[in-house]
Amino acid sequence: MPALLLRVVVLTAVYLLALTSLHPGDVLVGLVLSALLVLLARRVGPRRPPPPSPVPLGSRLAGVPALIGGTLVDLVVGTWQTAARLVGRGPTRAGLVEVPIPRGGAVSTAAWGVRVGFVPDTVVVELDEERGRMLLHVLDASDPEAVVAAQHDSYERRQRRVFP
Amino acid sequence: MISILLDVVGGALLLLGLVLLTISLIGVLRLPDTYGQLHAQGLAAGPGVIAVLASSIATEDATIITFAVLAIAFVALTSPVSGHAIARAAHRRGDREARKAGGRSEGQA
Repeated sequence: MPALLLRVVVLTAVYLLALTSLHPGDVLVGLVLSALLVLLARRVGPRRPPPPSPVPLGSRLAGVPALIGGTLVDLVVGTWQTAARLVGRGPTRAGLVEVPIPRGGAVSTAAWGVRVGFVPDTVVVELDEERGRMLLHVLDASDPEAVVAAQHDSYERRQRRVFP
Repeated sequence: MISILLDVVGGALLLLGLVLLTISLIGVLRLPDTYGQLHAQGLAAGPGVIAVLASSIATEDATIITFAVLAIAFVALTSPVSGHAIARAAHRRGDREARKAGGRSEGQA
């Protein structure tokens, strides 16, 4: 129930930001539309409910700054390396690397894919939740084990608390 | 004073964004394979666009900055998905072509 309420609040906030208005009528319309969307998504979504997260909601929310901040750090480093490669001064051994990922469910896998795919020096080629593997194309594939270790370290430090 | 500072930061972000977009264009033209071009387009669709949008702080207009923040959030969520879709298609096409080539050589042997 708190997760559903949180979704309604976040959707309403996005609606109000798009309108740039805090008029009571707009807030009411936003709440109604958000509640309808959340209920509709529950009806048309997968029948099997996702397993409950082992981490409490408060702890997950507390991990959001580390997730966003850490992803921004990855973005800056990845941007630098990609730009260097594109102007001919970066690593030239690009290739595919298979990264084993924990089977934490669809949301965890999707969060991993978005987080990694957002950084320009890694492209997510395949995400296999059932087999627990992610196929990445990286700009420097000279040491695949280092790539896997870096991905796991990034998951532990940035994502695990929010999307285990 | 703050207005001048915001102008400078906004200008720097705009310049950074344009440089990243230019490098991305060079990459798309230079790199021969789909994956390499995806890295290049990731540079434009992620940090390049975000830097240009973030330069809106120089306007000091809350409405424009709000729209820019929303746009950044949506770009951050959607650009990895589009890159993944293209990469997966390229990978599957590569697999299919490899299987075809393998089948042909087996048939010829």
